[in-house]
Amino acid sequence: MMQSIVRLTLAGLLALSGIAAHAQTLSGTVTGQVVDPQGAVLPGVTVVLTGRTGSVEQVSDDAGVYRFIGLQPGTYSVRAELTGFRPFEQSDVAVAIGSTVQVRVTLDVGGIQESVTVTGAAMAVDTTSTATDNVLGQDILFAMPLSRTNAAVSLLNYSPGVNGGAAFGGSAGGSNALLLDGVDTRDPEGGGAWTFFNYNLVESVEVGGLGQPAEYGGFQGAVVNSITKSGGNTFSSLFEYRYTGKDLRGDNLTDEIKQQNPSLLSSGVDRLDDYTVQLGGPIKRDKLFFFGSIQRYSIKEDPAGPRTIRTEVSPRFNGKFTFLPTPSDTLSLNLQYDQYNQTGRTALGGVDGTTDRRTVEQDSPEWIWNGSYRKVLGSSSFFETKFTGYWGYFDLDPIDKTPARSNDEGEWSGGGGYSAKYDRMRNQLNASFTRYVEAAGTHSFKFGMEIERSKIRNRYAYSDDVTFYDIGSTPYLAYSYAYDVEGVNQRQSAYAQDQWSIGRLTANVGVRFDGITGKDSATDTKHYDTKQIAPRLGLAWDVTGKGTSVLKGFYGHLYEGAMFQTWNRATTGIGDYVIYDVAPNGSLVEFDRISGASKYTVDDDIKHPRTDEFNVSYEQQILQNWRASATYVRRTLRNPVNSVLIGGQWAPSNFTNPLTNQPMTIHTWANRNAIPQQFLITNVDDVTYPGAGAFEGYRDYNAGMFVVERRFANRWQARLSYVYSRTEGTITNSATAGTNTNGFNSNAFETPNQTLINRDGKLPLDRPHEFKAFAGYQIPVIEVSINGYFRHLSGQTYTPFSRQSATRLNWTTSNDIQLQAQGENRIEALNVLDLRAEKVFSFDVHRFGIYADLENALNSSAFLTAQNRFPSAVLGGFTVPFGNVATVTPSRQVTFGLRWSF
Amino acid sequence: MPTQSTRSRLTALGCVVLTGGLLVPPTATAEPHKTPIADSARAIAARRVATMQASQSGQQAAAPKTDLTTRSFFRTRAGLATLAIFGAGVGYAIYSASDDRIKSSGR
Repeated sequence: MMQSIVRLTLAGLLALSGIAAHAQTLSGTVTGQVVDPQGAVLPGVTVVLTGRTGSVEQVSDDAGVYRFIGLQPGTYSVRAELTGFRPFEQSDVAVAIGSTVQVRVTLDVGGIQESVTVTGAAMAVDTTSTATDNVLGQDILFAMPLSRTNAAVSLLNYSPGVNGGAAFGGSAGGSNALLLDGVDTRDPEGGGAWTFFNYNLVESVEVGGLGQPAEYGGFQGAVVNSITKSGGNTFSSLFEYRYTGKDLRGDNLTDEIKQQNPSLLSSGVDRLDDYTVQLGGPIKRDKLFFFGSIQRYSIKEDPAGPRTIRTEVSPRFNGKFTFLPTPSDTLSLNLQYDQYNQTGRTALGGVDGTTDRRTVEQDSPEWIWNGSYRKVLGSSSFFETKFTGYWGYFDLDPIDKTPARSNDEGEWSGGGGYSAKYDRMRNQLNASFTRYVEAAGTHSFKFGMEIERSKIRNRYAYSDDVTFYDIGSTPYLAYSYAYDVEGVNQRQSAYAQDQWSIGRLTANVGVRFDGITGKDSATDTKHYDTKQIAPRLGLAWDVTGKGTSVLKGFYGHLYEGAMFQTWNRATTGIGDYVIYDVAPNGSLVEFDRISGASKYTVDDDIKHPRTDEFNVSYEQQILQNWRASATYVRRTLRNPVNSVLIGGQWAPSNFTNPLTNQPMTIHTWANRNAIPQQFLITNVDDVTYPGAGAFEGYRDYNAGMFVVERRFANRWQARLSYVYSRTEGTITNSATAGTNTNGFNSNAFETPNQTLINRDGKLPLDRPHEFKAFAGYQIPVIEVSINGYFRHLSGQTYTPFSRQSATRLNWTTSNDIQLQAQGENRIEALNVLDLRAEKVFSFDVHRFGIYADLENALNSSAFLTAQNRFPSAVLGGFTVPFGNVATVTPSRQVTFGLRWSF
Repeated sequence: MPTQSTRSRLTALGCVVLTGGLLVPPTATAEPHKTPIADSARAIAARRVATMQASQSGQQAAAPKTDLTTRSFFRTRAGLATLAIFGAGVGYAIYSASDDRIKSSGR
């Protein structure tokens, strides 16, 4: 069946490719019609589009239409001339990634000396796209006090519906496609951010995710497309230095907070030194351009817990060459080399158990490469191919290499306890083709393919191969454990889509195929093999026909990327877990050994995880500079992957809920001695636990989003958004609250105690109310700009749990039993304001700025997480009752910056 | 499992896309061509964009005295300062890459 579907799909794709196709979404289009004052079309008009790297020109066709395609995102000017008419010129035409900008040209009769200039296009409403994107351009990136620690991850959170990396109800951290100039920079192990890059490198960021066409794959949350700066025909430069210190840090730990959790100490940045130097320009005018960016980021922090210092020094080098052998050919080569040198990282014992002497150091260099070629074929077609990837590793070494020790009081001593090496390499080849066709309306066909190969290797070992457990200060037991696992993800993808416009109606129809395999490269064994076809269907209707409003709807399947974590427990390379008695003379005597041989196999019929999305939205341009939109979104998780016990039987066991003192039922493993411990990695949307019950694994997200945007004009800009949402289910979107049932690689589904008991409800990152506001104003005369970012977020939910021992449950490990329905409690709302004030001095082409950023200007001390173990947990040596604060919002921090740009 | 055959078809498909993309003839509509009017339009538009870009970086829209389109800029005081700061930044970052490097054991 699958073979037939694949064959049919490929046949369809081939048929489409014969007509045309479309390509990478790293470019945009400017198109329009030329008319006279009476509205009659004007063919033969010379239209010139000028951007950073030069000009291209066309002559309007018989229908008066011109179209510039395959454009690098940026700002352009359109000029149109015809003898006998006054020239028309429109500046500030902003082209975003994947956008189609309509510029309608009206030529009045008159002489060539009297041109008609339109300064600033109207706020664009794309009446043909079904996607709902949020673009952060230089107007916001340059002006706003945005967090700069990890550009891709932090910028994601400024969009409506995205918080803490959880986009539109998706899992935090691992479900977003993080693209840097089209390079997927995620960790192929679990999808988290891997690369760190210079914030100042980013020209614009498009955060998409809703209504995405078929060319976007490998995500269930959002797509973050960061486009880096390039050189142009004019030399440009940026020098910036930022500083903050311990004296510029506030203290937001109130007496109440200190009483609730004495382990919380004032923590934050002790010193930041961050500079960037950038220079770009022409090597040969209109032909060859360069751009170089160098950053040295150095930070010292006082982290939470007993540690007093964490340092990071990251030098980052970026170089980009752009070559235009002809106006229709663009070759680009982009390289990044960086290091992430960190000291003071936590060791065995975690945040609460790591002292300065027990920390580990991190060495992590990396290379990122990106070579691309774009060929524009007239006004109707373009082709693009790209080879991208990265190589890197991070190694962790303890500064004290003696074995770690813990005791029956939960205290840690000795060295950091382990060393680890994590290697990654990712290569991807993309090719795509676009063609516009006029037949029964207009079509924009797109077709493309992607090939990805990712390598993962993880090595881990205890210091001297052992960790000790003491009773008091007397050695009692020792443990030995190590692993060396490696794997390869392989992905082949193809997509075809058409944007078909008839009059005011546009249909966006597409289909995407992904074939994903996972192989244990140590044994050359294939463990994971899935093939999936994802439809994407959208409609957009230009309501008034004036290009100022659009009503659109979308339905589509969003499949997750290729992830090692989906199947890695089936690999070889896990060492035996050995338990020793420690003899009085210090020698180790083995008394138990748990084989490291994998107990896991992957279901032959496993289906790759996906999210189904339905959305409908309305977008309206208001006056010249405003735009408003309202969107309803529904997302549903499908095919969650996890592991279940094969052949398990469960017996009910009485348990008194310590929170309510009411009886409840928990489950013990009834046939432990009758069957081997074997687990199946499979889809857990429907699991039966014999003797216990049935489990439905699901996650639903419903949201209404409202956005009002005012682009920069007359010295001010603003963007306000409000999102009302519900994120509910049995599969969490966070790993921070209690048991991790994130539907990926935890072992939570192996026992009914963590799936059947109080698991259905509001998920930890359910935030019903979200309000975000960006606003900026340039004060005239004194030339000071004030910019602010405020967000109000409903607090996370939390659920009390009681930890029951492995012995009590006759299970292999302890289990966390939830004592109330999932999400029964909620932390107070978060209100945080960040501000930036900048004094600007302008001299000729030069712009000098001195600014101050106030992060958490109101010094809010809102809780971020609550302690959810009942009745209490030991944090940092203090007993903290259930419901008390576990972490709080970082305190106010003032950062000063200097910059010179031209 | 259809893996092998699927892979073969995908490879073939890739070749079709790659070659098809290169062989597709340019369309007849609205091909670029040069005219005297276009030259003047091009020059005017280029000036407009230069002003626009300068305006974006915060300067006043008045005609700039500094020419950023030629290398002669680097012979001005501002140009020399640019090179000096850029060079210093690059130099210190290279030094940092060596001096601040935490070198893992066993690499």
